[in-house]
Amino acid sequence: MNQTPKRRLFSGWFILAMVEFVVIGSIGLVFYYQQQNEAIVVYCAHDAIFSEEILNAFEQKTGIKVEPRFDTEATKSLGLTNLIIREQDHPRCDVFWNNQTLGTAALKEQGLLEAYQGDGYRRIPEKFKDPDGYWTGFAARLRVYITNTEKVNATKTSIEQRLAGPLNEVAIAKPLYGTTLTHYTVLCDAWGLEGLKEWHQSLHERGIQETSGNASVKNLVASGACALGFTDTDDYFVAVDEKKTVAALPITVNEQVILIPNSVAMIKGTKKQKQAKRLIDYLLSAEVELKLAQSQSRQIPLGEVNWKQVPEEVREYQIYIEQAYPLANLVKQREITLAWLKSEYLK
Amino acid sequence: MSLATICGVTVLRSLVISVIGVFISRHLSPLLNAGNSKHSYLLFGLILAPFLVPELIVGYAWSLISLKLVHYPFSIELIYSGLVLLKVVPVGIVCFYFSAPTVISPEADFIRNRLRSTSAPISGMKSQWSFFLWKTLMRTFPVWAMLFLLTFQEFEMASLIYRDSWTVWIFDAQAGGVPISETVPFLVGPLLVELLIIAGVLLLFRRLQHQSPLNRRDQIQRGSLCGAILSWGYLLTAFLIVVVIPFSLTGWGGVLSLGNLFQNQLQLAGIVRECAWGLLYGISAGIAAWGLAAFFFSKKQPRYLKVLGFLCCLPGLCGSLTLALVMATLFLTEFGHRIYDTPIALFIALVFYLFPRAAFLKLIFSARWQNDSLFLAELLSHSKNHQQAIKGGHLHWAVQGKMQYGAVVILSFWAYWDVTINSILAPNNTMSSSVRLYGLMHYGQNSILSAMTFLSLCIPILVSILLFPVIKKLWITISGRLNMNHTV
Repeated sequence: MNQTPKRRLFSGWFILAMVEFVVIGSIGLVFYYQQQNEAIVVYCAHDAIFSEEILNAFEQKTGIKVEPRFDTEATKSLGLTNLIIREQDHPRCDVFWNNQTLGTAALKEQGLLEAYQGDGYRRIPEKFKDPDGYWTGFAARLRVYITNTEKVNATKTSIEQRLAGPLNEVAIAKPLYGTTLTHYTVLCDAWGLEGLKEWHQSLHERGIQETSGNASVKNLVASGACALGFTDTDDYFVAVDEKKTVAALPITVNEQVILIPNSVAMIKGTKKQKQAKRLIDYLLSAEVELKLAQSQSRQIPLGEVNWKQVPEEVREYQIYIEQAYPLANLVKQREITLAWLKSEYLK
Repeated sequence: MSLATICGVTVLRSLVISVIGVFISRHLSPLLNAGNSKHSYLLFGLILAPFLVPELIVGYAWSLISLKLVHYPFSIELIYSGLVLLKVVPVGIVCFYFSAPTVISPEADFIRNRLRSTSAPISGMKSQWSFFLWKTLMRTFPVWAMLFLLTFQEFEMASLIYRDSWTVWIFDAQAGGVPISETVPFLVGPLLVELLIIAGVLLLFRRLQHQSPLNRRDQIQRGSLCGAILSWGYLLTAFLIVVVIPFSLTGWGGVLSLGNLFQNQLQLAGIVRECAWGLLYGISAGIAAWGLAAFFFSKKQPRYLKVLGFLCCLPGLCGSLTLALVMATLFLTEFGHRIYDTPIALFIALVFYLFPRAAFLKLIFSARWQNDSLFLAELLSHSKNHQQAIKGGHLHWAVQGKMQYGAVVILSFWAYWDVTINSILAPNNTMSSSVRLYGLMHYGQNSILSAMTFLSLCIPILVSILLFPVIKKLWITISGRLNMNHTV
């Protein structure tokens, strides 16, 4: 008897891999046909833990199934905006729930949104929505200075004093994305690009601590590593809930505050307009604004609500709704700011 | 900082970490040989634990700790580099452990070669240098290259701890809205660095193929008591820093919160479903990547197939973010959009992502398969004597099967914990748990995060442990039938 190894072209592993490709291919086909179902696809940049509850309530109320896709820190809020741009020829998103307005407004400029002016649109004040109904703002965050009260008082004078000197105990997020980009855009509009550049350079020359995001800014201040930081109210309230010694003061530009609403828009080309409109109206309802105000992120309602049902710490911010810096027409400034920031950070 | 500068910083950091990593791995690998079988599983667990804890958990926990050091950037750099080192050393140890056994010492091999040569006496400086290169650099180069590439591609921890790295830079460019077409040129530099390393490894393997197959691994002398104490000290420290501290920080409440999680059926069902999808993606991509690596880099394959395999490594070397974005763009073209938003797109991207790592593991592990025991195992497993055939199957498993199983588990684990590719390409209703966890970390939901993380970590580990005897039995039963042909 003689035994000889057989020379085989394909190993067992390779055959297994090929079988897998076929199986996965079949699953993919099932998925492709499943996509034709009635569920509405929502791209949601708002925090999943809060928005999931609202979308579930909508499902239960209307019977319309919702398939959400949430944003992650891995792709930042620009991830979903960029995704909609990339998918423009084959859109899979029906409704975009963004956690800010400028990115959504930029989508309008690119012709990727469908106008809709329903009941929800009508209850939101003019300055927080697109005049043509391509997007509508609701439930806002406020841009604030967060201070560690053991180091700085949250008063205008003490903060201004602190900001006039060395800034190695002051933190800000990288302005390439998120609400810090909105903040920079507002400053660009108010001061002009040159003014913004000077301010930015001055911050860095005086040693400001630049971090990856607003949550990091909050962490730095709450831990006492920094005395002061630029962040948003939702992050500030996380520190408050953690019983940290922090306080907040709204950031003002030309006596106006930076109020950053969520925004909702219908994507152009959606085949589920009827369901999309119902969801948009629901998100723009007083019920949802109240839910977001009562959530951990304490969003500030923009439309008519029963303010007695709004938590006290949010009610304090009601006065700022009238003083909000108008963001609706800042798309051009955002482009200019972003172009400059890219040249600064992405050399 | 410009991309070129950041790339330089990343190269420098990766060089330092990988060199130290190789040194430590080389000195720790004998621990596995020395341990008896009863304790070896525990030892393996201890060694692999830092590797098994996902980067995003470690990065998240240590980003909270490093907050206090914000005014001391060098300390943060030390923390980050230290964490990366502790995460890659287990891979080095496994590579050294699974690389070919030593039959004769490098010294003996060197003397044998010198005696054959008429030029250059053994005591000469040239010979000494040549011996040093042969014994140290060339033998550790493949493992060093693996560690270098892992360090060089690291993204999650660098992003969370806010360290400069080319991966973070590319991410920022993307987040800033730079189109893919403009991102690709940015990748040339980092890709060149990686290609240089891989080309070096390939050249080395090619050279080793012409050498005696007897000695592919140099022998570390059995350690002294002091060495053993240092080794155990290192293992315990690594376990403390990468496993204990992150889990303590995300809250021991996590284990207690498991009760709450089990009571919340909706949330439990959600995380289990996401873990199941993650496992499905991870295991299928791991098997496919390993299978393709085994195909392309088999010794029997013609050169053009090996070159093709090498080219297939390129997408994975670009990093997970770029790969995912490029794949998403490709699947959004007129030809590819039908499979966009299906598991196929994600599966293909994960296979590409894992492929260079699989190729590396294949190249490192395959050295072990060239020895005589494999041939003996194959002969035995085809014996007409049933007992001999069974013994052959067992030997075959011990020589080849076990490490292939290990390789697939490692690859699957990498895919399971990947955040970026999953978040960009997974269909909406089949997201993996890593994406949800990453989101929760950002919001600082500690107790629920800990419970979910604990569950997400336990599920793949349990599955790999439970599957081990099943795969072993299958392997032993099937291996004989697949590999040989009886001729009389």
